[in-house]
Amino acid sequence: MDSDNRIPENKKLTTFNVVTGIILAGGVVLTILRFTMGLGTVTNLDNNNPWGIWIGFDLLCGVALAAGGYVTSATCYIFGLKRFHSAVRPAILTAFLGYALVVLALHYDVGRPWRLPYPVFYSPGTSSLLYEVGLCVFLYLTVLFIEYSPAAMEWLGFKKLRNVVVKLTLLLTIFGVVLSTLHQSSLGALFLIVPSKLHPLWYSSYLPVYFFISSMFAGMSMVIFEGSLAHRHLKDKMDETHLRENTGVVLGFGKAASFIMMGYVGIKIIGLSIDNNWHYLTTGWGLWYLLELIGFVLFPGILYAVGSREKNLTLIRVASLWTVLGIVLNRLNISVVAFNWHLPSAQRYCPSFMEIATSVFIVTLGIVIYRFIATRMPILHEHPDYRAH
Amino acid sequence: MSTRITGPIRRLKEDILENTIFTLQDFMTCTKGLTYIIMGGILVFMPLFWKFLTDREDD
Repeated sequence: MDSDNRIPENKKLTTFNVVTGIILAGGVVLTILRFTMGLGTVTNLDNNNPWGIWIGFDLLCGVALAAGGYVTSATCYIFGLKRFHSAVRPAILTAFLGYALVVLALHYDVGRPWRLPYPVFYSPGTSSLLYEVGLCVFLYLTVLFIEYSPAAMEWLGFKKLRNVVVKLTLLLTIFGVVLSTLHQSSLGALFLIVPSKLHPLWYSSYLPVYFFISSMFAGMSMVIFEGSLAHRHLKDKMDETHLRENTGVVLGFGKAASFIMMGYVGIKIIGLSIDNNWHYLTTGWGLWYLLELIGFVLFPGILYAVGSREKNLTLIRVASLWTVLGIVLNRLNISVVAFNWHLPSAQRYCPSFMEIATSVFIVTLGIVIYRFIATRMPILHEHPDYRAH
Repeated sequence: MSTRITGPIRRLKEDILENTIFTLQDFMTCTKGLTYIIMGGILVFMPLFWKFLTDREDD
């Protein structure tokens, strides 16, 4: 494990650094444009399509893929599967950064950042699902920050405060699971209000259930995918325990994800049946729906199953990337592609280049911050002074 | 040689794929009946799938 964080001169101008530098610089320009010239300058949003990819990708996908935090901490601390302990800190960090960036991305969409506290403290709309989502994200981001903070405190040397926070672990985990159950499902429930706008194949009264169940295997897949990236690029920051437990984490999460994905396919078929939407399957929309369900849920689910059975880690890692892409496809289908499906194509929403570039900027920002923290703080290794926990 | 589907299977095909349901009673009978059959199938499939996932754990 490498404890020296100084970067040699010849390693400062790497491809990664140059590309991220260009993306971040472009993102700063777009941010200035957005907040000085308004939404219309950088987006293709209008009154028919007020939610674009900043909601569909940055928010819906961000929240779903950050579900690894509650899934991993519940697995370890509530179900007592301590063999997954080494996966908790990276998962919590990913979730914390994911949610923090969701809130950041929301600022680009909503504007007027100084009004962020209004929905929670000034004018709570207690009958609104958006209020519930906002409150849950606010509370869960706080919970994730506290769950992540022991790593920062160990790095900073705040021993006493760190020990107090560690004692709250179980309480925070339970709180995190409750809040995640609420807002993951509520994000799906937001679309219950648009039965006439969302294509019947994606619209269902079970949308909250679909969003919650899919967040579970999205989170697990993200833990596997992010773990494999860390294993490849930050291996020198991993200690013996992390390297040893990694195989078990990949196999265990792969198996669990596979089982949940099969259940998810089952409840999606039940949704088709109960709404009698079979006849739509023979249309173009139906083929697109089947591609999402079979190509990006059933197929990676089978890959996970075979990979877990054969103990083939490469297959499981491929399945995790496939599943992450499937979740992105599902959330974009619901919020953008199958939304306003009946409108003529001239009135349909298509994201502008600047909207896509802003989303790329936000994702890149997350990767850079993750790398900064993981190379300095005890995320992928245990701090030598606190090995007992 | 084309085979002509007749009887209850033809009615099911018309009801489900061609969406020719005229009353709420028909709709509920058809959709709920089919859903219960699917749920039964899932109840049988999931334990078998779990067995498939875990039967090599002792190796």
